[in-house]
Amino acid sequence: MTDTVLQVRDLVVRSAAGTTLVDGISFDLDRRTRTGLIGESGSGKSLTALSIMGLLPEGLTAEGSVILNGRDMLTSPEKQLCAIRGNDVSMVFQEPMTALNPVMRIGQQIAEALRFHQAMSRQDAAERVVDLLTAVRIEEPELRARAFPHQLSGGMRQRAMIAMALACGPDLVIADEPTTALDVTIQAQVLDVLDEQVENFHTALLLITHDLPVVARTTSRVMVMNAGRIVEEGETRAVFSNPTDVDTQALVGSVPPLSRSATVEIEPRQDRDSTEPVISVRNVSRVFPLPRSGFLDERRTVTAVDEITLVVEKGETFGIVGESGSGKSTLARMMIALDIPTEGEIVVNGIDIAETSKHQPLRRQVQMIFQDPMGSLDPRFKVGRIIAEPLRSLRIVGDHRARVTELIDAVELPADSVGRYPHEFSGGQRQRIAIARALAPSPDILIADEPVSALDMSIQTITLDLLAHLKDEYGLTMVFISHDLSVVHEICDRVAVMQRGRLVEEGSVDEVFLNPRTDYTEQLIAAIPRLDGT
Amino acid sequence: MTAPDAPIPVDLDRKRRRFRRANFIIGSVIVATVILTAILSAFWTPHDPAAISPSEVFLPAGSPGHLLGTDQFGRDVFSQIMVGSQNALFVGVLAVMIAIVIGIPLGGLAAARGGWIEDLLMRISDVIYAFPAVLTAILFVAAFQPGRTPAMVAIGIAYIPIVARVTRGAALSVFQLDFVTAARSYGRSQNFVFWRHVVPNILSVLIVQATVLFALAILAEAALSFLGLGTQPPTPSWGRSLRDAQTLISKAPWLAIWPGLAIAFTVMGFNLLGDGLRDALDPRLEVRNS
Repeated sequence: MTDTVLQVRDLVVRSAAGTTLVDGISFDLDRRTRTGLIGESGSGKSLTALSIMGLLPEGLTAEGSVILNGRDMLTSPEKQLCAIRGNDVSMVFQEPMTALNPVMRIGQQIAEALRFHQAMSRQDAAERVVDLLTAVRIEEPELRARAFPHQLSGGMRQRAMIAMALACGPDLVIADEPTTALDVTIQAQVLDVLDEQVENFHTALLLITHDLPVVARTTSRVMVMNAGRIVEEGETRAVFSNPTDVDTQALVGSVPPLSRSATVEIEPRQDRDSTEPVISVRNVSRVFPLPRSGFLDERRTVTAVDEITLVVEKGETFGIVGESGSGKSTLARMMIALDIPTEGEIVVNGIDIAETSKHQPLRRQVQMIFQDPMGSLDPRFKVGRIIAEPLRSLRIVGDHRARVTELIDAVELPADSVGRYPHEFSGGQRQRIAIARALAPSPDILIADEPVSALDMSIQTITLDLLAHLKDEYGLTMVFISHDLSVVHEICDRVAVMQRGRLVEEGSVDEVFLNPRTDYTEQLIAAIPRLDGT
Repeated sequence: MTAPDAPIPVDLDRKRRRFRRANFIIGSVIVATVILTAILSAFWTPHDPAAISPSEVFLPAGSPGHLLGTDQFGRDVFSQIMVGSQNALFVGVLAVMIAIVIGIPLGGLAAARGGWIEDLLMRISDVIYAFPAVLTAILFVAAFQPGRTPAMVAIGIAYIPIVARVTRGAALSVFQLDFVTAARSYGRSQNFVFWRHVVPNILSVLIVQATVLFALAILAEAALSFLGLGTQPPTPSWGRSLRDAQTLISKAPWLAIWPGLAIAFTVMGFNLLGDGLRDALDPRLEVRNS
């Protein structure tokens, strides 16, 4: 018996229009090996995964062969594929909230595969589920098995997904961006569990991601895809330390220094002479009421931002980092008067945001960039109109058309962008449109809420460079909110760390990253996956 | 051993979509036929629909010169049906216009403001919603006067909560999107955001809803006219033709069959169109095709 689980030979995937999306790739996966498949979005890595599962979306055709345990996943009849999926090969998806059925208990969902593939009795399956949940380090497994997906945290859901994928002891597990939606500390836990279980079950793992450090941490072999082809493959450490292909070099080069190795040289930043405060946040709290659980119940509240005091100085890039739910976005929204503090005071450029009558003038000075460049642009508006919107709204006099042309040029978009709709652009380009819109009223302050989190690594780098360049050119002050410490490390002068609404640490980037004063910050920094696998 | 070009074994989705596409085409053809008939009948009908001819009473369908026969006064049934389409479209447009013009702003207000305004509006809509539209209309015409316009105003009012709820539901999800927050961040008012950003993005849902309500309004008019509370003579109405035919059903069944078919056909047409539009206007498909 051979140890080869999967053999892919000359796999070609074409769209209905005849575009080649995956262009003749071949590889083998052996039992107990962990292989990374990396590449930017659109490189064909997810389609490769779907081909292996025999789950290509309609309209796409595949050629070549994908032999899993001796059966061809491209030609086998659907009924046979159903028997293979979940039993011989299973998948862990990016977003466990949507990959799990919201109205089914976790235990039932895991048991479903066991009962279907292994014809287990209800009772046996229930016992097995508890074992599996224990294996993925979910505490109180009996209790959690009865929970619905929304009652678990993101990290727990993802571990439950892993338990589900491993339920039938598959020979191959495909994990498609399994940690992208998770906070960095949770990410580390989930990767550990995945690692451990793959080992225990003697399973082959195919880890698909655009996040190179995650691959470095988990896999021993890596394949790099670009434009439908495998452009480089080899031992992970070797490929990352010494990439031969230009595309791989670009990918590796786009990893921020902090994510390369733990012992990174931090370049000393130049001191700015002026220390003129432009945003001052004093004892600010924001409390949201929760819906009453019963008619007579007391109204409960959640404190999103808890007595924060900080000052952003003119011309600096001020980073705010924290995990999801730490209150960093709420704080950002208050800085642009989209939300008003319950207590405390925020003064931006001399304007107290509690004065609603001054909001229009305030918004000429402060503008915002959002995380999801798809969601932040109205799909029914043309790009020219989108960028001109703040000019019209804030009644800024002047030639709007000329200003739009100027801005499109400044963010390095093609001049004909004006007449096109947002969906005609890539994610990185859409974020440029959003940046151009934010710059339209010539603001002094730019608030960027996770501006690059939704973008590919190399696009992140380009976008960050553009932001840094525009900041210098227009003399902006920037508040940069991110959960990604390595990005913050790269672009910010000073940084504030938030945890559960509180400010736990604040200081210059060098101070905070080299000598974190609190355990929490230390944990955050330690949890960053690094390219050298440390 | 692999066959090249092997079809990928998926898809139930495609069948469903083809089915929807057929619905859309059939629905459009029927609706177009009704509209064209209404326009044509304004200028030309085979006979004057009101012309009485004592020598030609109760002619069966297929009689020379009278395709669908004649009624107890010798009036041409085909011409009456043709002219009746004007009435059907009129009542549909009137009721749907009232429902939309009032329902959309109310739904938008509820979605944008939330809090007690939303609670109040939604509770009021629950109350109106609790009464069947036709019952509301009967109460309404009883209080005022029987007639087409009052009846359809009542139907329109009864449909306001339906439009308002659909608008609110769809708008709530659009209000969550970042481009709405972005518009607020550069100073656009809720009002502007709702009409310029939210409505265009929920238009497909509203169009589908309007089409379905159109069909319901035609049915409601037919029911009210059948009871004598809707369209009054001499305006030709399919519902009233049914009522007139009721006493003659054993003598001349075609007098009930033709207007009945006209109603069923038109209502089905609008429903199929609405069903087909649901898919045709689905923006997710737009993305997939681009």
